[in-house]
Amino acid sequence: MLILTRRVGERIVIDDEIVITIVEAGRDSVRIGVEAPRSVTVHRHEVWEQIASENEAARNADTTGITGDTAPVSTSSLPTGKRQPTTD
Amino acid sequence: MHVQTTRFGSIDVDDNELVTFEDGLPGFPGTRQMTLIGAGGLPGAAPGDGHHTLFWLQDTTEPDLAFLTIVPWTVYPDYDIEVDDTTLDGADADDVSILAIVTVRREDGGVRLTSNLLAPIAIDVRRRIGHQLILNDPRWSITTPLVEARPTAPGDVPLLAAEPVSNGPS
Repeated sequence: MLILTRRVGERIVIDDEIVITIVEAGRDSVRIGVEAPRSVTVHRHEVWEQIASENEAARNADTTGITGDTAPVSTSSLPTGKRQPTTD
Repeated sequence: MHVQTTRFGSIDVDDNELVTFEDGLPGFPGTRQMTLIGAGGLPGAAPGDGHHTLFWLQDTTEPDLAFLTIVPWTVYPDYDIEVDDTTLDGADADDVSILAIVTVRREDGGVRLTSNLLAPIAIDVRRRIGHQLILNDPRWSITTPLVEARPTAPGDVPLLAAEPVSNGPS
């Protein structure tokens, strides 16, 4: 892992397009600004971990008595669009 | 192609119906090819009317990897995730479909279903690529209540009978 020392207001540039700014530094926490293209996803790591954990819990759900008939369907049967209130 | 599944046995899937998740899903890394399996609808969840509102997302290489998903607007009419061309690698919003992964928890003899509205699955149905989004919106929870059922008698298995679906495999 690359470890850099930065002062408040100083920046780090990653891959020419992601800029990390140290906004504020306290005793136990730092505030960090991230500027990145919209295609780059930025998340708190613990949120990602919660989602991974929920995915694991959701995997192969026991749906006895819950789901109905099951057969492969076409992706074209999915509702699409900016807002997808219902299928029809 | 033939896809081996724990839940459905061996199924035939048209190669044109495989959805590629290049980045995998959180907790399930690596490029994955998934396929959709219609699973009817929840009782009382609009609109039903013979259309699937529940779908299994079945991995094509791991037989025991499948996720139950729901078309979120059928039960959460206020869910208003914004889909634009940055949602899925330049996909046209008109081609993007959103599904929420459902978690089934069986506890104390009952069954509790929740939906992950914070991290929905987006699928570009034209290019057949998929990605699990992580929204930055405090309104949506990883465990949004979907449906809950308690046993009516000790030892009873609570049943949530599915709505009949008329449009079979396509």
